[in-house]
This record gives sequence, C-alpha cells and structure tokens, in this order.
Amino acid sequence: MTALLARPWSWVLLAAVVATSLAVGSVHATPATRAARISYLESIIKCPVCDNISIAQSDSQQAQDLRARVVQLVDAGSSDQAIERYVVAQLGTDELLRPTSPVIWLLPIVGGALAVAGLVAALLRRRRIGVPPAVVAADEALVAAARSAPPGAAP
Amino acid sequence: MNATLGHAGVLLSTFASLAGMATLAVGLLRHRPDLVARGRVYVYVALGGMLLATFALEHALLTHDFSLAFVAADNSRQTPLLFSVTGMWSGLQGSILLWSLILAGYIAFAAFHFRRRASDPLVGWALLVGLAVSCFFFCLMLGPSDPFAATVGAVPADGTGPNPLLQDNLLIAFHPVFLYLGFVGFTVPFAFAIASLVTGRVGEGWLLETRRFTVLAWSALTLGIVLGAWWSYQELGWGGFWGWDPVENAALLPWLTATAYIHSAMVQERRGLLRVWNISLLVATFSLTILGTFLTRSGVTQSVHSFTSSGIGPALIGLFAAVVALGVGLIGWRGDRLHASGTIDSPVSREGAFLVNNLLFAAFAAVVLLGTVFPLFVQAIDQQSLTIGRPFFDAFTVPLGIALLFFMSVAPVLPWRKAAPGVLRRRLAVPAWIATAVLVACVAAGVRGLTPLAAFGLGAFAAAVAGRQLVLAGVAAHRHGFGLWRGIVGRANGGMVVHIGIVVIAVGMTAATSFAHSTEKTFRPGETVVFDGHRLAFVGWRKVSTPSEVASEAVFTVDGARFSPGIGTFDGSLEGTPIPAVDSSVVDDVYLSIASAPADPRPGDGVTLDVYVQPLVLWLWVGGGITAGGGVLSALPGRRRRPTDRVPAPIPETLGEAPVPAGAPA
Repeated sequence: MTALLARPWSWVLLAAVVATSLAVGSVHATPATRAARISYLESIIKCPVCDNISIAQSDSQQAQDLRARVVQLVDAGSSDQAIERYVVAQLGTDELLRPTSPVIWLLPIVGGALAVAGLVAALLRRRRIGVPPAVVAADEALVAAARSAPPGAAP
Repeated sequence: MNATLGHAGVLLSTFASLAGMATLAVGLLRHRPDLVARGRVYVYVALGGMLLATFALEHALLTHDFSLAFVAADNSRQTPLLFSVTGMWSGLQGSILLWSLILAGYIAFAAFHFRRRASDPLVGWALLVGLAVSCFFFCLMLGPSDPFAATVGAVPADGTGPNPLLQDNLLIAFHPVFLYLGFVGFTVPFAFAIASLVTGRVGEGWLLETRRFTVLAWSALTLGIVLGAWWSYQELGWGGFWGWDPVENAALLPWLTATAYIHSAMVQERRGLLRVWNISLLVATFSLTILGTFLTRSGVTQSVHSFTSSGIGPALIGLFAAVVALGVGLIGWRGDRLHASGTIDSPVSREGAFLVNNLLFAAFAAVVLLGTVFPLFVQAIDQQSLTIGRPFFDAFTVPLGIALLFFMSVAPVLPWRKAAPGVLRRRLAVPAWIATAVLVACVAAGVRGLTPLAAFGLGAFAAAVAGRQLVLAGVAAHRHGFGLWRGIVGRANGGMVVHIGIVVIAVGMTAATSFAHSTEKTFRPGETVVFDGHRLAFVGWRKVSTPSEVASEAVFTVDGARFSPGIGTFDGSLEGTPIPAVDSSVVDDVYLSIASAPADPRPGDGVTLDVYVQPLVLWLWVGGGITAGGGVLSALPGRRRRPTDRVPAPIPETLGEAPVPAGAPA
C-alpha cells in the first residue's frame, strides 16, 4: 500500500486533488456584505476607554456609541477608508488597532529580506571554504596505524 | 512578628547569595576546588531563607495581618481561604517573592543534581551566575519591592481585598505558578551557557546536562500560557482567549525563542553546528523573560493584565541590559572556540529543516517583539501614541504559523546530513494522503477560506507524521522486548506527542477565530431564542451571596442545561464585574456574558446578553495539556544511550559499511 502511494504518479494525483480542493474552498469566500464590513470595521477600531481591545469586544458606553456610529456611516455609503479616516480625525491615530504608519509594516518585510539574504550569503561562503582538503597518503597511513592498534589502547 | 520573620528570611537569602558568590569567585579565580565545592552550601541556605520568607507572608495572609502594607492591599477578612493563599501572587511584592522562591529552588536543585561534580569549574560558574541573578531579586525585596513593608499610619481593621478578577477563579492557583516555573526555569540553562563561555568549555556537554531543565521549564511555560488564555477566556467577557496584549506577548516571546532553542540544540548535539546561535537563543530567552517582567510590572504598557505598577522598572531594564551586554560580550570573546566543525551538507536534511524552523521562530519572535515595543519607542520619540493590535500581528504570524505547520510535517521524517532520493516520498506518502483526505472532507463539509483550509490540512499532515513516528517507535520498542508505552517516552517520542498537542491547539485556534458567531440579544423572562443551532431560554434572575461576593445571576438554559452568567461585586465595592458562563463541548462553545442589566435586577426584569458561539475552543485547553504532557514525557529517559557515553564495541578490523549502533532510529 505504502509502496503504491509512494509512486511519483500518486504524488501528482495528490497535488491535483489538493489544488482542486483549495481552489474550490477559497473561491466561495464570502463577499464583503454589509454585516462583514461592519464586523471588520468594529474589529479594527480600538475601544477608547479600554486597553488593546476593539469596540467589537467591549461593552463600555463609548464602544457601544462607536459601534452605532459605524453602522450609521456604513449605511450612509462611506467606504472603509473613509470611516477609518473619520475615526482617526475624531479620536486620534491610536484609535485604530491596525497601525497606519507604513514604517511598522515595512520593518518586518525589510528585516526578513535582509536576514534571508545574509543567511544565503553565509551558507554560500561556508560551502566554498568548507570543501575538505584531498586525502593524502600520509593520512591513509595514520588511519591504518590507528586501526591496527589493539582496541582500547591509548592513542 | 510576620514582618520580622519575613525580613529575616530575605536578609538571610541575600547574605547567603553574596557569601556564596564571594566563595565561588575566590575558589574559581584562585583555583581552589575545595572553595568551589563549598559554594553550593550557600545555595541551600538561600533557599532556606526564601522558604522562611514565604512562610511568613502566607502566615500573614492567612491570619489577616494588616500591619503589613501588602496584606492590607491584597487581602480582607472576607477573602476565602484559597484566595488568601494565592494572595501572595495577586500583588507585585508577593509575586517577586514567588519568583525568588522558585529561582532559589531551581538553583538549589541544580546544585543538588550536580553535587558529585561540585568542584568542577563549569558547575561553579553556573552556580555563581544563578546566585547573582537570585541576589538581584533578593535585593529588589530589600528595597523597592518589599513584601513585608509596614502599613503607613494606623493599622486598618480590614483590608481592601484582591482585585475582583483575581478572586473568582481557581486558575489563579495554577496559571501564575506554572508561568513562573517556566520563566524562571530558563535561568539554569542560561547559567550553564554563561559558565561554558567563561570556562571555554563550549563543547556539547553543557547542552546535554541542562536539557531536562530546559524541556521541563518549556513545558511549564506552555502550560502557564495556555492556562492564562483559558482564564482570560472565562473571566474577561469578550469570548476571546488571546488579544495580542503586551503582557501576553511578554510570555509568548521567551516561549518562541525557547522552542527554537530546543530544536536547534539537537543540531549542535548531533552535528556540532549552530553553537553561537544556540547560546544567543538562550541569552535571548532569559533576557526576554526579564524584559517581559519589566513590561508587565513597570506600568510602561497599558494592559488588561497589569494588575500592579511600581518603581522596580529601572532595576529590571538595567538587568535586561546587563544580561544582553554580558551575553554578547562573552560570545564575542569566545568567538574563536565557537566555530563549527562542519557545515550543513544539504538543505533537504534534518538540520536543514531545523535551521528553517529556527528562522521562522526567530521571525515570529521578531514580529511579536516589534509590535510590542514599537508603540513605546514612538511614544518616547514622537510623543504620539500608537496602537498595534490584532490586524498587524495576524498579518505576519498567520503565514508564519502555516509555514511552521508545514515544516513540522516534513522535519520529523528527514534523516540527518542528507536525504536520499525517494526517502521523503516513501515516508510521507501515507501522512500526505491522510492530510489530503482531511482537506477534501473539510471542503465537502463547507469549510471555506484559504487560511483555515491550509491550517486544517497541514495540521492533519503534521499530526499524521507525528502519529507515524509514534507507531514506529512503539513497534520498535515492542520488538526489543519493551512495553508499547516505551513508544511515547523519551526525547524524540515525547517530542512527537508535543507536536500532536500543538496541532490540536492550532486547529482549535483557527476554528475558533475563523468561524465564530456573536450576537447581542435582549431577553424577557421566559423568552427563547435559537442562535447558531443552540436553543437559549431566559429563566429569570437570582441573587447569590457569599461572605466576599454578592452576585446577580441571569439563569439561562442552553440546549436544556442551566448556565448563569452574572454580575458580581466583591468586598462591598460598588462596581460590578461581569462573570461570563460557558457551555463547552468538543464541537463548540456557547459563551454568555451580560452586556447590560438593571442596577439591582428583580426576578421579572429583562437582560441584554452577548452570545458568542465558537467551534473547537475546548481543543485549545486539551491541546495545551497534551503539549505539556509530551514535554514531560520527552524529559524522561528514552531508550537511546547518551551520545557522550563511551561506546564499548571495538572498531571492526575490516573496512566496510559503518556499524549501525543498536537502537538507532529508522
């Protein structure tokens, strides 16, 4: 059974099944309905009187007011970006849980790229200098001498 | 009386640690093995002092001795017995005492464990480092964080009692203790890493000697984090278990670097590679526990978990800087001895996979660290406050987590050095088809979205690979005349149990966050609502009172069983705390939390309820248990001999195939 499954064509079949499943599973993702937009917006707006939780998670009066305001703005036809700008203008830059500063989004990407580049460079360099020297006759003689010594003898 | 006893204990520990450090330093620098061996006596004395201080504080809490400022602030005459005992770690000063007690315990255990090698300079230096770290915490209790400080002014007749969130749940007895057992446990491998650098004995010996300390500390930290998530899920009332809060991140950071270390340490043991990297990871793990304590205890970050703030911040950040400087300095000094003897031959090998795994864990830790401290820097430089929340962390950690699941599936079947063609194809065939079957079943069952499908599919892959390894280990143990249970004991097998636990957590976390439904609903008494397949009926209000707590509970039936979310007031305080109720099952959780209610509800009043239905939440806690249990199993001795032991078999006379050692893994 294992031998059968390990055949190359079995892996091709597996790849095809996985690709089809993922394609079917991801194209039917829910569209941006009104409810989905509202729940997304509520999840990225910070509750003004709480610590690090969104207005979706808080039952404070301010969070409830903000939730009502989000629903109003969505129904009035504002885009997500317009509502984010509105929140920042009304309450300040730290009212969005999704940081707006591009620096914070770029830092991990640039840092990750640099780390990978550095590692690849280090591995390549090590591979170049890591080539072992050719075995010469003297080495063979040493090994032979060591092997012919009685077991347990001190080197 | 309690104060005198406590102060005496702290002073005894401080002097013992100072005397021990002096003895060890003189012995090590003057090459006097007798002094080095005597140093460990002071370690035991320091533990004795901490036991005395802990006894004094517990005695003060249990007898409600409000002449101590700490007891007056964290205890009251109505506090139940259990929460009086746990009161020791409900406030800052007592938590520092708990930290110091556990630290003294670990160092004493290490001293006892290595008692036959007490005059060995490696052990001597390690105990010296351990005593120095202990001394720092003892000194905190003599100065800025004194648990035995006297109450200012007249002694009050009654205390204020612990924070309401800290006296409603049994988990306060476990979460902080396990978290500290994890945090503090990394001091021992750190101390040995520093000792190996100082003595120049950077070979593989110290790694093996401290492996069990590392694995057990890791298991305790895992359990502590999962219990903390479970606790905040039950208490905080928003149906979530992880909020990327600075304090949660502070516990996750050392966990990430320690997990990376546990994997890369194997590469060093087997191949002698990654030495600088391993020591760096240990220094990072230890310094991140200190940074985490700084973030939690100094009040620099706003967090739902910061129950205290105090003046110990500068001391902690100083220790953090000193640890980092010491680590980097010593690694630089010993750079010549840390060169690896070989190199990674092929990326398709066990060590290649571990290297990628380490990079992913390091990237994960870097993102979490950045998101946690970046707002602090922006605030300091720009005077502008900035919040970094879930969207940022999810954007980076979800892809990293998926990649980790993939490597978790492939790495266990990879051979060391270089994989021959066809090996992977053979070993992965059955697990890959199991994973594909799970994926197809998920799609057929209506699961949609690339992230959950990838997580479930790769989770099944990783679990199937781990299961395959366990079955093979069990069969091999059986063939060698051992019981089947041997198949889950030992380093590699326990590690596979850990992998299964992590998969269970990952699946639970993905399902709960991707497919949660919530609603806010107002109920009249007798009203029934069906939400997401669950039948909720409001029965009515009832009052519950205990000496320390008065609660109004809204009695509901969920699918026939009774659940009563409430609003509680503790120790006569005016503000009510919502107490959620959860109907847990293997399939999904129904989480009820009161959103708003009349101030003093009568039986006929209505209630507005937040209802959260989340699938597979229970898997998180079960997975946490499996993971921690697997960690303990991997610390038990397995079948394989220690790689440093001498091999008695003589070298064969004829050239030919290298002998296969007995019991070598397939």
